[in-house]
Amino acid sequence: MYILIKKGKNIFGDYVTEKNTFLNIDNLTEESFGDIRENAVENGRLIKQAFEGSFDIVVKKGYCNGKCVVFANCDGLCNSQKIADNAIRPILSYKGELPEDSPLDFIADRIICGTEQKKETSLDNAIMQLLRGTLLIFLEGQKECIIFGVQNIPERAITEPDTEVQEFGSREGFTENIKTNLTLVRKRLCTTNFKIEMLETGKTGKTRVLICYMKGRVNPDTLEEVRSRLQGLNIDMVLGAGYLRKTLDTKRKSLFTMVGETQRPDTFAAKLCEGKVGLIIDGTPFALVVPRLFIENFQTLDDYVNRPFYAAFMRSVRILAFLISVFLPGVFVSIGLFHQEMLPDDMLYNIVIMESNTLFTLTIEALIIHFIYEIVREAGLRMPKTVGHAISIVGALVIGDAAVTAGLIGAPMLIVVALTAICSLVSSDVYQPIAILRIVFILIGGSTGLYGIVIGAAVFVISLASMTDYGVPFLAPLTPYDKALFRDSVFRLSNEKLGARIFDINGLKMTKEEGKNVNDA
Amino acid sequence: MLKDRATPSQFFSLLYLSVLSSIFMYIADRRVSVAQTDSLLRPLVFAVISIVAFLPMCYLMNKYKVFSQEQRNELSKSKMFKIISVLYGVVYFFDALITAARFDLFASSELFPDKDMTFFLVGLIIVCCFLSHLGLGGLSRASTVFLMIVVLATGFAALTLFQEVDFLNFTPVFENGVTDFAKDSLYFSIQASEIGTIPLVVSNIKGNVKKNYFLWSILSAVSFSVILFFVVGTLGEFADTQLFPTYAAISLAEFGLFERLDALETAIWILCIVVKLTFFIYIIVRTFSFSFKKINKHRKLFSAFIGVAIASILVFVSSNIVRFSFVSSAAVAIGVYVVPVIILPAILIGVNFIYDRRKNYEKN
Repeated sequence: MYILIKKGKNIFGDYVTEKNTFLNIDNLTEESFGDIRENAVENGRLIKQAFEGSFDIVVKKGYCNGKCVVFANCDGLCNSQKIADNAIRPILSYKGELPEDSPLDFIADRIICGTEQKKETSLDNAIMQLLRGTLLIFLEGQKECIIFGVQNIPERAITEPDTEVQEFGSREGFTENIKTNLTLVRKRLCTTNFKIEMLETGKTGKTRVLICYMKGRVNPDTLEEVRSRLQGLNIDMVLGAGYLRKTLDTKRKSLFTMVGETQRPDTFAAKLCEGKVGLIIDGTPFALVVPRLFIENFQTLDDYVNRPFYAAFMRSVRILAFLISVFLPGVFVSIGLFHQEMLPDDMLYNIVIMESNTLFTLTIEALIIHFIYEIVREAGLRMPKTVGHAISIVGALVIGDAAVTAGLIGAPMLIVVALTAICSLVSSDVYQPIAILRIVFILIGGSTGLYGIVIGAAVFVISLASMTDYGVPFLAPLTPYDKALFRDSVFRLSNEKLGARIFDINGLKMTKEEGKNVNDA
Repeated sequence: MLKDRATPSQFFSLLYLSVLSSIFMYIADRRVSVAQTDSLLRPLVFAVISIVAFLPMCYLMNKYKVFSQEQRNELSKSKMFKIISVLYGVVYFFDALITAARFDLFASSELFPDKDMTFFLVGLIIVCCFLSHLGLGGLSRASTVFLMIVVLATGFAALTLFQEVDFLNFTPVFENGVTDFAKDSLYFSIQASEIGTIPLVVSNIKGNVKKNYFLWSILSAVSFSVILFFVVGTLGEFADTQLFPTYAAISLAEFGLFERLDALETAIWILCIVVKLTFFIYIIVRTFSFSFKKINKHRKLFSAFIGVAIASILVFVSSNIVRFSFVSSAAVAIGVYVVPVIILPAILIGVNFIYDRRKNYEKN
């Protein structure tokens, strides 16, 4: 992995380099401080040196029964009250004797009170823990320190996720705090089979990632695959879930991904119960789940709360909306340009009258209005919320009325695009591929007609059908068909008919034929 | 590899779509009278011939597991197997060419008679070359989706056509004699040259191939009979004047306000052409890469070469009616069916027999 360093001066006016160079991440090194010294003051000095006097690094010296004790913490990441009450005051006010052997154990067990504490011998690891919001306690003459958990990392409150709104589901969503997120999942999975592994990713960021799975349900090969892909990750920082998505997804050239993303702990817990592997990443409210099937883009937790017939209906509506949003503009353009005979005479007459007043061909019209729509959407997404109404008004007036009146686009095309835009928002998970695909199909439909669209659709379906990751085909359980799993896919049978069975990803035939035993995990 | 793995139902969906595209293009090409009731019985003969033709391949698969993964390394050393593999590739190259040429005729005579369809066809071949890289697994799995679409579309067309059926169009059976019927039925049956690919891909199909083949033959025959029922019932003797009678029949379909559905139906059929050409290109690349290590290393390049070759020959053939007549002649069609379905499996059985005997002799 390389980072481009551009030539010239940096923002402070210092000359950086004479030419553009690439910095190899593999060559990035941090200063090592070795093991903890016996001299507690020396440890405090080394910590100060490591941060070169950063004001938020607090190092305090004190005495416990005549022995020097050094406390170090990162201000802002810790609870100062807790430090004072639970660590500094009890230690400094202790009047008794410290035992000769293992005085640190004595301090940890008898003097300070807290649930999270451990010992560390490496100063580098201790500094790392300091950056996670812990308090380091060094005692004179000891080559180890106590790491005392007093974290108070700023975080926002648990709120309902904006991107996955449920009608009847829980109102809790993930936050940026990894521990909070884990707690939200843990309280939904009260079982010892819920397992968590932690690893750090990113050379500089050292972001904590939790690999979550249900023992006995997860496919061991999938789990091992996730582990190895994360361990092989060569990246500088992980600032969002998307950074890991690239590593977990082998189908990088495809528009679709087999790595799922969720902001909801209930959805996350449900996916783990299906035998999938989940990843909670520190600093982001988005958790990842692998593998993700195509049909999951059209499923919500509300489907399991609603009556089965309504859930099945809604899933069909979502799939139909997806198909409309991808194909409708292209089909409309192709029928308008190549297959006018397909339309009833009256409808054709009306369309011809309205389109005859416009300047451009249907293809150009469709492209223009879609680009305008994408611009308005992007502006709406990035702009300050206070000017949102202004954008809406401009968008509605310009696109909705003025463009038609000015003869830039026809009213039928406007209706098609409006319907397409609404449909594309029904399944927000697949919005990105939809936005690209519909442009592609407009171009195909405008140049080769309905026949070209069919060929394009064939490419689309065959590409999806050929996607397999973690041993699971993307279009399962539709193809390869699995009767048991199909009952909870495009439609959902009633709870009585589904019985006690749950959707288990390991039940898919492709993995079955590999001869894996899901209970080996 | 998952990329090339398919279940029997997926593979036979692919095979069905492939044969269906031939059936749509077949009738007028052979100048066979369609407007007879015995047309409906031809698919039954097709089923019988397909099952009989499968027997040598079945024997071959049972006894020797030709081209299975285990024997691949051993067999790849044998020159005879390399030659046979190349022969398979050459035959299916011709088959792909015939398919493309027929589609060219269909496109330029029915779809857009006033437009040059060369670029469309070249584009189609490029797409098929690309799709062939996605493997047999993806193509087979997608075929099950396409099959559902084709069945729904054809069923819908059949429903809308039912009111157009005139039972007076059904003439007495064997009106022109049994000889003509037998000859026509044979012509009809040899459209399914794809069945010759089964020994080549059987190692990738997990499941009971024989049972599914039997089912495929029967269901294909029944569905073809239904299609011919509507062609004969709606068009009558008019069918014989049409280059593509199935298309002519579909043109009569209307639904409510929508008076023309032929473009929609044709678009659905094009799916079958895509599947068929992609499958043939996949088979060509696979058979050649079995024989030549260099091709195996550069499959994408070779596939592009095959695409260029098909497109070039297609342009050469389609530009002249004599050349086109040769490519779509009965002799070529028979050759393309008989060589991979009967002759090559027979040679393989013989070669395997000698190979085994020699091996046993060396052991003893």
